[in-house]
Amino acid sequence: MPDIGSAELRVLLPVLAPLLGALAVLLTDPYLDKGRPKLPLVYIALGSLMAAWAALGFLWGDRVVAWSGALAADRFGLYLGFAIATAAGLTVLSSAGYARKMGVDCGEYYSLLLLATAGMLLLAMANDLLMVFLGIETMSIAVYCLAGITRERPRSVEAAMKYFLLGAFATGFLLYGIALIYGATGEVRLERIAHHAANRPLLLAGLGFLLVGFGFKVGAVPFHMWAPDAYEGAPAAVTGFMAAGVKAAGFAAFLRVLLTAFGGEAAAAAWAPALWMLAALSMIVGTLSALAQTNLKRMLAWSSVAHTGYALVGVVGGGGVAGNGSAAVLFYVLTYSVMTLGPFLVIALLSRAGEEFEQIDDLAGLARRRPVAAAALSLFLLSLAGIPPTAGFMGKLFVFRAAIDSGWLGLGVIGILATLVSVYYYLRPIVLMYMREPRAEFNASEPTDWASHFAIGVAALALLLLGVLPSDAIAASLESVRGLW
Amino acid sequence: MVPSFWPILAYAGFLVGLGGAILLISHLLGPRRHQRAKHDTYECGVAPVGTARERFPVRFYLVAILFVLFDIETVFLVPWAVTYRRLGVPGLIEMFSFIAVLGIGLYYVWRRGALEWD
Amino acid sequence: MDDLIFTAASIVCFLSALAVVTRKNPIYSAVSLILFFGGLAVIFLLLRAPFVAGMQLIVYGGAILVLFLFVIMLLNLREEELGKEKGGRFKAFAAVAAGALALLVIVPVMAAETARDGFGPLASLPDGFGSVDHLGLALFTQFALPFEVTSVLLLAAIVGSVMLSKKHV
Repeated sequence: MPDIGSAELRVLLPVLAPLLGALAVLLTDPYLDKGRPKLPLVYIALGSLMAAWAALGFLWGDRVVAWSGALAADRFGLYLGFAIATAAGLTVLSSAGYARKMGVDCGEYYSLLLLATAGMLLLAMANDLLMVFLGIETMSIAVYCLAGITRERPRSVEAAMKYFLLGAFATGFLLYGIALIYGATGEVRLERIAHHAANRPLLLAGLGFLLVGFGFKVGAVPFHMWAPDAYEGAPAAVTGFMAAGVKAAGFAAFLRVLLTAFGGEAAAAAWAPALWMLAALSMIVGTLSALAQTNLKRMLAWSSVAHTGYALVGVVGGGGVAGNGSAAVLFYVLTYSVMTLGPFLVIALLSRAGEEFEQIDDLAGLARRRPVAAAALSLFLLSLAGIPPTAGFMGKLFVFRAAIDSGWLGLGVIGILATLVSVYYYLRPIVLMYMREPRAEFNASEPTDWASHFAIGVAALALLLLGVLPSDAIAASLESVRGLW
Repeated sequence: MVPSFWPILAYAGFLVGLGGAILLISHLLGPRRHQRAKHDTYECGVAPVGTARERFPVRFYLVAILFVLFDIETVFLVPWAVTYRRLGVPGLIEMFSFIAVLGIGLYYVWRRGALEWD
Repeated sequence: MDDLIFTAASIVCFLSALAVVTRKNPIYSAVSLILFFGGLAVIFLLLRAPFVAGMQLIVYGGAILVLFLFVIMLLNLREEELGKEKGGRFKAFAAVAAGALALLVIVPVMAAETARDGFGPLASLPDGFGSVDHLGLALFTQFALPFEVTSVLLLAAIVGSVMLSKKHV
């Protein structure tokens, strides 16, 4: 019997906060006036996410493993936990106005958001394969439903359907991989799997299935087919949360499994070439496909595929315990989650009742009508392109340097070339916003959505801070990876 | 094969045999008189109206899926009930919090009117 | 004896699974799936997992199958809506994909078998392994957290399904 004492509860705190928030939302919702803005739900959601933040900060320190090894509160999980909680908080802030515009200002919206966050935090801290599976499922089921929450828009339903079907298929692969690994070792705990020799067919096959499953979840080519439709169809605030949170949590678990259970040299020699292919394909296909898009959300979906590739460069070039690659991935995913959330917050702000603001051409002349939104969007796009002094530049620099230092020159070169090409499609919206006459009408007459502006401001500020003064965050990421052992 | 499953296997075999035998015997012995009325849909003697292939309303699906979800909850109760003496108070707390989370789910479903047939 | 039962159950599973994907009328597919779950339950029994076998029949064969049937009747596709038979090229692609997947599954298991890799024979398992008793103790001690998280997962599914099929308030 595990002693349900302090360690067990303490480790669980960051997950309990959003879970209790979700329960409180479900209990409160029926008592609120229909037809009026459901601000109490927003306050509950924000409060519980701030509590989660505080809990993550409280746990920051030495590695604590609890629940018979199922959950590990170490810096590695907490690092991306901060990214997840922040992304969820900014999404809630922007949703206060956006959900009302889209007619989904209901208890389900906020409770699913919080349940997904709880699943993501579990996934980031999961230390055995069962928790990895349960975390992924809790997160995914909530996000599938959120993607289809604007049921009146057929494309939203299509997004939910495609995301669900392919996601369920991917979960099948993941689960089969877990079963094979359990069959080979009799273990689900990551550090115990590492004790088994890796050159066994059953274990390697299990690893292969795991790679496919995780590849789907983080949207790496050739397992990315769901991403464009799901990103385009889902309501903007949800898409942002999906792009930032799901990817951060997915990478946290992916990296932890690879480093802890398959970190030995023999195992790494098996997965590195496979991930090399995924990384190169993701960068190339993501970048080239993004060039042709006319829809902003779809363009950002392809860009997120390319960014998965950049992050995978760091995974391949991890260089083991001594190398900087894994820390570079953590830092990259942290910055990526902020800079990919940003544009979706702007889209959510600019959307009008029941209608998404998503065509790139509609951006023409935005700078004249909505200067703040245009400036913020430009900053996010510049950061995605990796232009200094934004965080995107530091992230790419860190990742590519780690890869080249540990001898993966080819991958580094592909990454740099993809980055150069990507500048074109990130700059085009900026040119449109600043150099063209306005074509579309912007909803300037509506009352200012301060919460949404605040969220955008926080994201922009975070990107500038991480770009100009990255040393603390980079040092923390290095400590996080060292803290795994 | 663990011996204790033999009765189940025998029982299953008996059921399959019995079902097959009944079908076979009635097929062999039953009289066959074909009439038009006999090929009609059986509807308690009333003349059938429309087609049987009606589209089901989505309400059925909601009831079914809620049933499945709470069904899984009860599945977990069985191993708990078998071992609860040995699990003691911690086991009670575990099961209580499990049921509490789903209980709030049930409360929400109830208040939301998802169990109403409107 | 075990081998005989296993072979019989596997054949039932294989044929019924084949029927699930080849029948054009989805109702037949769903009914074939019941047979498949039955065969699977027998295999679980052979693997000394009687509780899982029972749940396979009650939850999958019973509840989830009913859900499938509801969904099929909900959509109630008529012959003309089912569309034309897919072309030969599509079928060839599907066959290749399914074959590749089957190889992916079979090869490692066979390789493991020849390398004598794996968890060890069933006979080496402790007494009472897989019994409801054993399962309960493991579930509520060693795997207490996964058990609790299951309730969160179910809650997300409950909220999601109500949200998707009920009118928004």
